[in-house]
Amino acid sequence: MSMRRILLGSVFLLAALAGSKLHAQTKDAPPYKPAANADEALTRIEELGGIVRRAAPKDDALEVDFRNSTVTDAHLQYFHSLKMVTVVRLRETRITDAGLVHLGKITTLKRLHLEKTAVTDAGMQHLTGLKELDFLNLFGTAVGDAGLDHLKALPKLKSLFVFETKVSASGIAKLQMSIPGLQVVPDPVQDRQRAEAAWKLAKSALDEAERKLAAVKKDAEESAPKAAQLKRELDEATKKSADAKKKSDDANKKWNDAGKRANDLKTPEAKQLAAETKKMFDEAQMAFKSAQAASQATQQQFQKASNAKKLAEEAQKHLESYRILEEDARKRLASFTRGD
Amino acid sequence: MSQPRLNVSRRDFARLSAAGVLSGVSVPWFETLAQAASIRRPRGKNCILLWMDGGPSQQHTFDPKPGGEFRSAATSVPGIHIVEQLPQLAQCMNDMAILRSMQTQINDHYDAKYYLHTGFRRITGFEHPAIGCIASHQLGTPNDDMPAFVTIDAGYDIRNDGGRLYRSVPAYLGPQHSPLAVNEPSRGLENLRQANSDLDARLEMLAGSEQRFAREYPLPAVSAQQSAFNRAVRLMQSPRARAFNLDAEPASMREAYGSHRFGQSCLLARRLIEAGVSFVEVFHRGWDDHNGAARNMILRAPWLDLAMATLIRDLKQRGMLDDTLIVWMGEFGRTPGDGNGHFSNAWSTMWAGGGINTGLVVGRTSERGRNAGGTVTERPITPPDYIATLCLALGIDIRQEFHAAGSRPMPVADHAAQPIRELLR
Repeated sequence: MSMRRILLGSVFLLAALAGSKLHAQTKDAPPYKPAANADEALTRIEELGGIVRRAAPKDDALEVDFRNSTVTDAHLQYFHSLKMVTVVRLRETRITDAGLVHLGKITTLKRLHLEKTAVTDAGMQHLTGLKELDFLNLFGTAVGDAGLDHLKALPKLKSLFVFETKVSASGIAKLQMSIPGLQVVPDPVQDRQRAEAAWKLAKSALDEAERKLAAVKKDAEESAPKAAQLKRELDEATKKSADAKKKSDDANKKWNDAGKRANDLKTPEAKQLAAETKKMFDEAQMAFKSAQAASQATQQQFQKASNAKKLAEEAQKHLESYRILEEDARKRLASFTRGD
Repeated sequence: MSQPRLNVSRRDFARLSAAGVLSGVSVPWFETLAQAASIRRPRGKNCILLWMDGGPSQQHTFDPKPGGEFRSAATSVPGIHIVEQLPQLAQCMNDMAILRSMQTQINDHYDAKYYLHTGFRRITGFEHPAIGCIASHQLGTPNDDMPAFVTIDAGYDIRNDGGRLYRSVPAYLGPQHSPLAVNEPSRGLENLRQANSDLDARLEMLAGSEQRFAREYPLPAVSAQQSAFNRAVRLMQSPRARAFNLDAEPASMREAYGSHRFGQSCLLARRLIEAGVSFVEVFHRGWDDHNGAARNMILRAPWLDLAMATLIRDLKQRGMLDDTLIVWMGEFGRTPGDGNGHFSNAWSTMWAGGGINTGLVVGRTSERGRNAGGTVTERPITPPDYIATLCLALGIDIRQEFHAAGSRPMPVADHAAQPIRELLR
């Protein structure tokens, strides 16, 4: 009994509930019964909780996924009735070395997942007939160097996963001699090199951040006493600028009045006065503009001086990030030296 | 058709009708009837989508420019540079592909989130399914104990909120493809505990009364409520629900991902994929850096670098990286230079693993000039291109059509989409 029995046409709770209850109670798989043909084999596989997929969109190759299923060694005989199986996933299932005898006959197999199963060195000898195999996942199994030795017979093997196994560096090196281009994961030599490169980069970024912080700190220290002085200067300049503006506005008014008068009277004296007030306004306006520029310059200096403190604070905060980056990278590098 | 809508392709529909499924006769799931040649479910690829909500700056991550605010640094692939603030990730470049020529037109947060999650522009009165829901529909196993699509909220770091959060909607694919939401990764599914020993009896009683109601009112809302309820019950009774519990992970592994909530979310995502979930979306919020991208990015760099590098390495050593595509993205990038504004004209996303071609950069942005990085100079990528490529990378056939309300045929990806071939094997 399994989830497969849940009726597709029904959305009723009762049906789903019954299915899940039965599923939860099921501890043992249905016993192995020989399958007469491919269809029967597929049906049985699905009864076990296996899922059959198309391995590639363009051909008939199949993937059989037994993860989370109740499959046992004997059930793997269903593969004898299927053609073109290229991917088999058996992660965390109850299969053992005995099951590998059946898998070893799937000559079309390209990818095999045996991670976290009870397979051992002894089982690996059954895989030597898999001449098309290019991916083998042994993560979390008891396989060691003796098992790896059998894999020499797999000419197309490209990716081998041995994380948390008993495999040693010399076992890997020996296998890689026999199968050129084989990538073994993890690869401690490459991983260490990368950890070192990461740490060097993090260290250089940290050094740069420290240099930056020192520079902005120096800036902040220098500008702190300056800031008070600049504030006084700024106040003074602002006042000067305001005075100059007032003078300029007065002169402008006078010129306006004189100009109007000259227009009305049209006497030479009035015209003379208008010309004189115009000159005075021009001068006053120039004085205002320069006072304003001086005030703005002081304003900028003051802003810079008071920002220096904020910049230093922010740089300090950022330095913490670079420290963490460096520390994390260093820790990872150290894990290789410790031999984790 | 009085039955709730079944979301299957036309071919399957015909086959199901022939098998008597649609007439309500009880038959096992159609795959058991199928000939080997008619099996359509694609190879089991999974996806972890890391969504940086608000729009991360490309020049402060994967597309640094000379004279920019962040210095660029070499990666493990000669010739490819990213910012120096991501040192461990830079050493994973062999397993990564950077997409630098995103050109997505929409600078408004919500519409952009919708566009980048669905591949279609948001329009009035019609809802498109999100990529996670499409994956659930296409890759998930019907009636599995585990949900096919889970979202994890990795929270805020800096409250630079990018407007309303986009919630993945299955639309016409059916309510069973809604995501299961985890709101706090370290707590998993808090309510997933059987409170009373007489639960089964209570459920049966409830089922009895609900059955009549469902028969009389076969409405989508009724089936939606029931599918969510059934799913919760199944999950509650499944030993596989342990995957949601981070405490089951060794302390060293939890530490390797970093104590930040984003790192723990990535670890949870890995556990869920391992347990059979097809699509996990982790969203981290507050990337709308209008007050300067540099100062915020440097604060995020430590946890981002550690979590993502660890995720890639962890999946790799477990032999899962080939089957698990990691996607890092937001709804748009940020203006060249300081990154203060939204920028959809030329920005970057990053993909890793998933059996795609890696160790490469797709597309290019302008290198020099007053506005370096302001334009795409090579292979612009539109949202339809992007979603189509994502579907193909996961093994989803983009030519198939779904049936929206009123039997309106809807393609998986827009017909105009040009998949990024150089990424696909």
